[in-house]
Amino acid sequence: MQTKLNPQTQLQDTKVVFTRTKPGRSTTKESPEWVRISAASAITLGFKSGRFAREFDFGGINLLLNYDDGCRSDCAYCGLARTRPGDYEDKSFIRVEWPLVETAPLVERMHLLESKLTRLCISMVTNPYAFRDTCTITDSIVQNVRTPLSILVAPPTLNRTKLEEFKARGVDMIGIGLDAVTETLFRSLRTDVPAGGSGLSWTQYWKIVSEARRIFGPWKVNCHTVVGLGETDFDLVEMFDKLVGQEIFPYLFCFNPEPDSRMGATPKATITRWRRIQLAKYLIEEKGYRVKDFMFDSDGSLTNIKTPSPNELIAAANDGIAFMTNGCPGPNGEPGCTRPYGSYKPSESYRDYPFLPSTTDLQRIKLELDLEGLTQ
Amino acid sequence: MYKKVSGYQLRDDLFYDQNNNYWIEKDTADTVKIGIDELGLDISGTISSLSLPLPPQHVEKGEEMGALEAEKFVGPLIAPLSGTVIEVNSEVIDGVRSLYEAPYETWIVRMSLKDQGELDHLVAPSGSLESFKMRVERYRKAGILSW
Repeated sequence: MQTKLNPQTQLQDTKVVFTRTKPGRSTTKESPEWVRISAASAITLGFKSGRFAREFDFGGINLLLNYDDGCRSDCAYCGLARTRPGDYEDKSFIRVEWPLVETAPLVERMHLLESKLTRLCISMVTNPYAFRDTCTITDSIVQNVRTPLSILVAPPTLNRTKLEEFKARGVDMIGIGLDAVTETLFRSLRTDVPAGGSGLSWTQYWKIVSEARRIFGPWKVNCHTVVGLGETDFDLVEMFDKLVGQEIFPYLFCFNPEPDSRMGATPKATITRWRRIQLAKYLIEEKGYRVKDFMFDSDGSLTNIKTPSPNELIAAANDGIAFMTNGCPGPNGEPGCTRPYGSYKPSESYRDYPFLPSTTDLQRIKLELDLEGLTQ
Repeated sequence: MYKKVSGYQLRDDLFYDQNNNYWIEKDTADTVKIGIDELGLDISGTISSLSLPLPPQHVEKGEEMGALEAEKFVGPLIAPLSGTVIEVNSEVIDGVRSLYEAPYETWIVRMSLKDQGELDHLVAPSGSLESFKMRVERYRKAGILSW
């Protein structure tokens, strides 16, 4: 059930004030005074009217830094890419609008609704002001809201010292949007791009992954991995194994083509491939499977899972957790960042479930998974 | 004709289906135009598309006659009256912008009524203001409206 405070509720014990950090640019609606928030966050915090197709408790609030000149990166699949047509202000991110709101009232509302919130996250963009502004917003959040805070970082803007500063300011977890799971793919989609030069390199991303892991500790760092950018199943499974071995969470995302982006005409992964990758990751994370336990054809497609008993796979599919949204946890370890309808339309099959799938959902999932075809 | 009620525009010369947030306008002696009222648009979030029946199609009151999809929501469009859908507004099939620009001028379907008494089940223009206020309050309490 969605729950919100009565709009007449008075703010009594919080007052958030921002001072402008960029003199001379004060007429623009830029961070840190302004941020974008996801549509689901805007609905939950009462900035926007609306509802979810299925009712569930939602408390994962996502913020995105906002700059007039946008993100300096030009990733082939991203809605915010520099060379994607249209004004930056009008661009969608993960295919829906991200409302622009003032940071101070946003923090006030998060404070008011703190008991309902499960995870907060600031997404940086590649911009020279991003680090400083993320620190400013972090301070405001940490001082007013106890919900754990993650930062989805922009590695080109960071180094060890800056990561240590995030930690010192109270950031709980660090996310790194690796997205492409091989160096070749990363380079083709993110480095060697029409408006390149923003410093997106595989080496820099992994440097930040390693530094973050050292500073924040085990299971406090996650890498986003996207299914459908041109990688093979083997590439994904190998990456999951590598990350889990380093006590880093692999978070799974389903590529969802952004209209007019360079990959706008690329189809998303089939639902069967997606479900099988979800299951494989779950087996690696939760059941101790390794790369050697999976078999692939000459194209790198998953063909079989070596299991002591098919019942183990059936049980893994039946508990439903494998098919839930990957995201940073809430204060008690529950799903915290659940991004409903983030990579699929409400009328489509849930790619990842922001809640534990129901019995009916599981029947559908098992048809989509075609587990028998994977264990013969 | 237009009134501002609880922050929303309302036309006080129309019939309303308060369960499904439609306005209904008598068109001819036995036909009506049906549209989505401003509150119905708001509670759905940002609507991206509508699916409507291929006319002529008979529908019974309370049955699904189409679907509405928004950024985080999808749900059925329930027929407010029994009759035959004789026309759909192709403009809203092609794009929903006009729904927001002029919600009370942008009908979605035209229906011929099975029975003139069908309108008796709706909120009559005379009772629309109070009924509308109650609807807004209901959605506000459910946390669906912005504040």
